Amino acid sequence: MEMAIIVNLDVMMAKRKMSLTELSERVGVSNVNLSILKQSKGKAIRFSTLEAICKVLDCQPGDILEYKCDDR
Amino acid sequence: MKKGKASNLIFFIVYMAAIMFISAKSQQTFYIIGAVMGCLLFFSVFVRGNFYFKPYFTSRYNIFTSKVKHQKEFDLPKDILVDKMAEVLSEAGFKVRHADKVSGDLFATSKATMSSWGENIYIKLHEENGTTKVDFCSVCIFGIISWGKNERNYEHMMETFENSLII
Repeated sequence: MEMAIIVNLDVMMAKRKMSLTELSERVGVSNVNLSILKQSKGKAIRFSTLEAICKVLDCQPGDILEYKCDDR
Repeated sequence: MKKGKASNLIFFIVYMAAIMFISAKSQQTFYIIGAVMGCLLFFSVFVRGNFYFKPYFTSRYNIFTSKVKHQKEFDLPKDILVDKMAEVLSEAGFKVRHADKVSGDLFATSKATMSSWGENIYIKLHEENGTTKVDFCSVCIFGIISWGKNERNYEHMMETFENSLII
């Protein structure tokens, strides 16, 4: 089942010119978990993780998370 | 001292005390027991923990080691999944001995307990039609019957993997 929540982490990382390794170190989440999150393959995201990402990337949760309605 | 290490140490001390008591009665017994212990030690150090001996442990013709195999499909790239599986194996309490992104091979071992000599976990990842197939094999290093331990290893690993997807 395709997830309707899209994670636009790579877009924000490109805007802030930050690599995945640097983001991983600053947020305190492993590279592999951030990669999974980036590809929208995670099951859920903790508020603490979301807060840390928003703090490091200086953005809002809505900048990272997007809902795509799949009407068929 | 961690709980697991303390119980292993107590088990070892009791075992050594029993061996010394038995072997004190006869020199021949002492040599036999020493030879058996030497073989077990050699097996544990050089054979059990070495990925090279995977064909021996996972062979279907090896009836002396009980094994359980499962296959599962994941919608993740192989190189990410190798790192993720290594992380999950560590979190699940297994000791990762070998992880190769190119071949997609992972090898981990579980600790010996009072009910089991320990198990070897072999994981093979290969990409197929855009998804990654994971072949999991848990094999007892000694024992024709695993008493469900192999199956529990698989279930524990999968449960840890599912929980780890909450980032």
